[in-house]
This record gives sequence, structure tokens and C-alpha cells, in this order.
Amino acid sequence: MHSQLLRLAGGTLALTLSGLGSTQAADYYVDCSRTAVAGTGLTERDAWSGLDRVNDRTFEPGDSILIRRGTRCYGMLEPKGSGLPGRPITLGAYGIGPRPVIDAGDLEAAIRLFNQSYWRIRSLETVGGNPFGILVSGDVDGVLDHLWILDVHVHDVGGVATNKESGLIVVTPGSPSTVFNDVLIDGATAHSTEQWAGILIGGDDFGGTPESPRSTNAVVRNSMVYEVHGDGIVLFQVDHGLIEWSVVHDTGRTPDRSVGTPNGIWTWMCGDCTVQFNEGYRTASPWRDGGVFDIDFGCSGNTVQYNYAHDADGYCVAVFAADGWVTKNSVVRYNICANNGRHPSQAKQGDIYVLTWNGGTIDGLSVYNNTLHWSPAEDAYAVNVERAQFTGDRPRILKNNIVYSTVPSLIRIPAGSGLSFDHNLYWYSGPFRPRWQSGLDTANDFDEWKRLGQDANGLYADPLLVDASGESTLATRYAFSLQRDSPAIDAAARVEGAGDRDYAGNPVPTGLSPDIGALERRVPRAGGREPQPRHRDWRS
Amino acid sequence: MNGRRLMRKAPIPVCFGLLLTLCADTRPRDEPVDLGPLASLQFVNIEGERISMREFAGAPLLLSFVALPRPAGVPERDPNRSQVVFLRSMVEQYRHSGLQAAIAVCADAAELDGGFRPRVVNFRHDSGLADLPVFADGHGHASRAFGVRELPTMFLMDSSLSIEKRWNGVALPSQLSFAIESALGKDLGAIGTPRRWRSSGS
Repeated sequence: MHSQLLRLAGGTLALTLSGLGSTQAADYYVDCSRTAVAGTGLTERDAWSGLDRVNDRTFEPGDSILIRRGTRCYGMLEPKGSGLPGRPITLGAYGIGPRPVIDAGDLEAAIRLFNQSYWRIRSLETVGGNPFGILVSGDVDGVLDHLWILDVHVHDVGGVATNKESGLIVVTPGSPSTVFNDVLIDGATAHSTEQWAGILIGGDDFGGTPESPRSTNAVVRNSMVYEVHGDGIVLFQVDHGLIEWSVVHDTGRTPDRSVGTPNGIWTWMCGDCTVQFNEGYRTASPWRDGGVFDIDFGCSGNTVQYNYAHDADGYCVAVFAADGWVTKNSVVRYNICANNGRHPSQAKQGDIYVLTWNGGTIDGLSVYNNTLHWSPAEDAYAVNVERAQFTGDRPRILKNNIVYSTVPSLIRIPAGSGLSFDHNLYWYSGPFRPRWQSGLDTANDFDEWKRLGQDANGLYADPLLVDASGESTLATRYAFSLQRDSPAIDAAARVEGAGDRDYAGNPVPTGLSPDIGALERRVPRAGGREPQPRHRDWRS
Repeated sequence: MNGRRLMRKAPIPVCFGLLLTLCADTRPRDEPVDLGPLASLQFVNIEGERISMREFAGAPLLLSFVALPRPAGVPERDPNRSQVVFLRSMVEQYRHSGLQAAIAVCADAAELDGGFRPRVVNFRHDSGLADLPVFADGHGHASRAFGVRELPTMFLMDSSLSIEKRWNGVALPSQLSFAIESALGKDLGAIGTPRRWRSSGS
């Protein structure tokens, strides 16, 4: 490990030194609507008329390459050079109007950076490329630093996926010793491809173990991904990753599982990674998965919180361990899961799905204060801990969750799992008997579940949720919030390290104890409607 | 409201300094009397067309007031950018059920001095809002009329332009979704009906 660090540091130093002695920064203009001229590129009036001049040049720290808005350039944009800390190279747009379009046709990518650092790509639209829309890669023995991709629209990448490292925006190493640091993708819209990923940071082309070099400080934020054949947004082999305030939908459209089984947003071999404040829906898969969120195997210290997952073919959130590695310290909290399990075969996975295989184990699992409205296409367990092997002495708790189900199957756990359920509230709204299963033991009423050693302080009662009960949303003002007489109010246990806010940002607790579920009960506004502005308010 | 409907209107020349004009109540006498008090408010969109709030009457409207986002990629998160993402998600999910949406971009004095309108135009394109009405509330008339105290603020208005719901700060998608479903009168009991999955799935 020590030698890896030295190698990575050396890579950074080499890149830094390469930028010394740079000339004064310049702005270069590109106007692809101009007829071919030999401009200097240094003014808008003397702009370059195509991408060739850009691709031929090695840019200096602080330079900007600005493409005229409302124009369309053909080819692959692959400028050379690297910036420096505080002096990145910008690839952006000038003028007023729609983002300039880079039309790559069937070339490898519309924009390609290779072995380059300190770049900011901003306000560009790309169409085409095969198998990438935007590709950032490299094969240096070290770190590629500060690669920001902002406000881009990437779509219609051609071809069909043959591996997971393809798609719309792909930041992936080209060698096992190449990693990235400070990757930010903010405000991206990526859609429409039969390649695999919407947004991928990291990679698994070179295998990987929990000890392999990892990229660091990767953030995807404020982005939308839809209509992709594979995954929506993924972080592979990253330490300190964050995916937040983003939306994925209509992912996993691949018709077969030759490449894999996709999800909406997930992390693999990720250390200290957080997925929060996202929305995912209509996620699909040709076989297993098809879920919205997933802490996959080899992850450590991952948290999935404050998300909204609905109408997925598969699960709301999964936690996996595999191939002899330990998935450590996974936290799933304050998420709202609604109407998932839309596909009969993927519904079997449940809304919360925990699975290990090939010798993988889980050390530490905390699932608390989630609200599940489980209404699958077929009867299947809402919380399904399938064949999971646990290790270590970290907590294994499922606590303070609301499980509202329209099918009888509520919980399944393997024998001897050591999982501790408590302060959960269950409700099955149908005519049959609810079902909890622990190993070979099946409980068909709540007292039997308690006799199996679980949920001593739990409840089996209608949670009186807004919407799920049919009560008007606007009468109580918060979707999936609790009605005034809900038994979930003040019925949760405090969880160490749970934070001080609920899904909606309300303080927790608002009463003597926290409420069960993802939303704390708040007193609705008297009269039930928002106050209307008066004329004099805005005429004065 | 959609872009096509707006584009049918004849452009009305307007001084940019008066992008939003608050007019006296000029409702036709035969207009339903139960429209909310904001019905007579008028906006001017970034194409220079004057748009009356009453043009949105007849279907629920999601109206978002946002600040012109700071340059993308600053280290701290900008809630206005997040709000735009969730607004777009709601439009994607509910426009076919009749939901209308619009954005009013607010500015402070410094931004007005710095070429506000071009930045709003580019914001509209860069944020994927080209098919939505975008208003430049450069002098804050509309935000004052709505009593906006922080940005972003989101309003869900019913078909008679009364405010059904207001979110100060970022409105999260589950909150938006279920308020919209109620406003659209969608049958929430239908939850649980399997959606049509693609035949290509196993």
C-alpha cells in the first residue's frame, strides 16, 4: 500500500511539474458556423471554424476554449494539455442561446480527455459517439486531478453495450494504477443510449479488491439520467463519493443480461460514499436487480439516506456482499419507498433487499426510519434478507421503519442472522394473514413474530399514513406523513448517530421521542390551506 | 401551459427594465369570479411576450421561483440548481396528466447590472428548460406578490390559481409528487396496479 501511495504522489508531481513554465493564459474561440478560415482563434471575430485546430493544440493552464452557442461542430473534441491548481483549462461556450453541439457521429466519443488534469467542461451538448458521449480516461501511473463536467447535455450515444464501461459520461481509468481525484459532475443531463451507463466514475475493467487503488472525492450532483440500457449513476472503486440531488428514471432497458443486471444509482467498492436526496423511478432489469439504490459488495461506510424510490421494477434499496469480501457499516435511513416491485420476477427481491453470495459477508447494517409502501406485482417479502451471511460485531439493526404492505409477506430473514428488529410498525392492508419468516419459522401474527425474538417494542397497526390511507394529502400537508392519530408518533427509539432531521428536513424529534418512519409528524396549518396573497400585498 | 401555447401569442414590445408588469385588475367581466387573487398578475417571458397568470387557469400549475444559479460547480451546493432538477422530474411525470409548470428567475441588483437577461436565456438552455415558460423577475415584483421570502420557493396552484401548496426551500420529489397527484385528482387508490413492463424483460 505504501508503494502505491508513493506512486500516486509521483504521478501528481509529474503532472504538476509539466505545467510549470506555462505562458500567459488565453481564450480561444471556435465558431463552427463559419466557413473554413485560418483564424487565430484569439477573438470571436477571428474564431476557429472547426475542431481540428483545437485538437492540434496543447493548451496551457488557465486557457479557455469557448465554442459559440447555437452552433454545431462535427467530430471528436480531444484537446491536449493540463491545467494547474487554481488555473484549470476551461472547455465551454460563449454567446447567448442554446449550448453548442459537438456531433461525434460514430467516433469513439464526442469529447475525450486522456491523461489530463485540471479541466472544466461546461455548457456543451454532445450527440453521438460510440461507445462514449464524454470520456475522461488515462493510463498514467498516478492521479488525474480536478476534472469537472458541468451543465452538459449528453445524448444519443450509439452502439450497443458490450461491457459496463460504456455510456454517456464515463470517467474511467485505462490502467489498474490510474485513479482520479476531485471529479465533479454537476448539472448534467444524460439520456438515450443502448450503451451501459448514464454516468460512471471509476471502473472495474481491471478487476479490483478492497485494497486496489481507488479514485477519491467524486461527486455527482443535480443531474438527470434516463433512457439508458444499463445503470443510471454509479461509483466504482471510489473513496469519499457522493451522489445527491439527482434523478434517474427509465434505466436498465437492456433486453438481456449478457453485460449485467442494472440499477438506478449504486456504489461498488466504495469507501465512505453517500447517496442522498435523489429520486429514482421506472428502473428495470432483464433479470435480477432493477432496483433504484444499491450498496454493492466491497463497500465500506456507505449511507443511502433521504431518497425517494418509486415505481421500480425491482427494489428500493439493496445491500450486497460477495466474493469473499466484507461489506461494512452500511446505513439505510430516512428513505421513502413507494410502489416498487412492479415486475413479477424482480418483486421477489423485496423493497429492502439484503443478499450475500460467494463467501461475501456483511459487517454492520443499520436500516432505520424508512417508510415503505409495498405494493408489488406479486406477493413477496417487503424486507428480504436472503441467504445473507454476517460477520463482525457491528450493529445489525432494522429499527423504526414503517412497513405498509398490500401483500401478506412482510419480513424474511435467515436463521441465526443476528439481525435485531425493534420499534418497527407493520401493517398489511389485505384480507389474509400477514407473514414474517425467520429461517424455517413462520409467524402469521405479530405476537408470533415477537415470540421469535423480534420487535419487542414494535407495533402492528395501521400507521395512518397520508395517501396510503386514502386521506387527502392536502389535509395534512405532507405526503407519507402521519395523520394526527397515527400510532407511529413518538413510538420510535433513538438511534445513535441518526442525525437530527427527517426526510423533509424537519427536526427530529418534534415530540418526546422520534416518530417511526421517514417523516416526523408536524402540526398542519390551521384551516388546511395555504394563505392566499391579498391584492394589496403586491400592489403596495 | 406549454411553450407552444406561449409562442402563439403575438410578441409585445417591452422595455427589459419592466419585464414583469403588475397591472390593475383587468379581468373580463365574464371571467369566472373564483380565480385566485394572483390571476391578474402579468409576467413577461424572456422572449418579451406578456403572459397573464390567468392563462394558466384550468389546470394545476407548478411555479418555481429560483435565484439565477451561481456559476456551476462551485464547491458548495446551490439549492436552486437542485430545485430545477426536481421540477423537471415532475414535468416528465405529470405533464401528460395536465400539469403545467413555469419558472420565475429572480435577481438582485448586482445581477441586473451584469447582463441579467442573457444569463437567464443561457440558464434556460443550460438547465434543460427550453420547453417551459421562463420568466425573468428582474425587479422582484412577482416574488413580492407571491410573498417569496427565500429562494428557491415552489408553489402548486390549483386550476383556479389558488395556492394549494407552498414549499420554502427545496421541494423534495415525494412531497411534490403526492401534492400534484392530489391536485390532478389522480386516483391514489390505483397505487399497486402493476405498470406495464417492457416485453423485453424476462
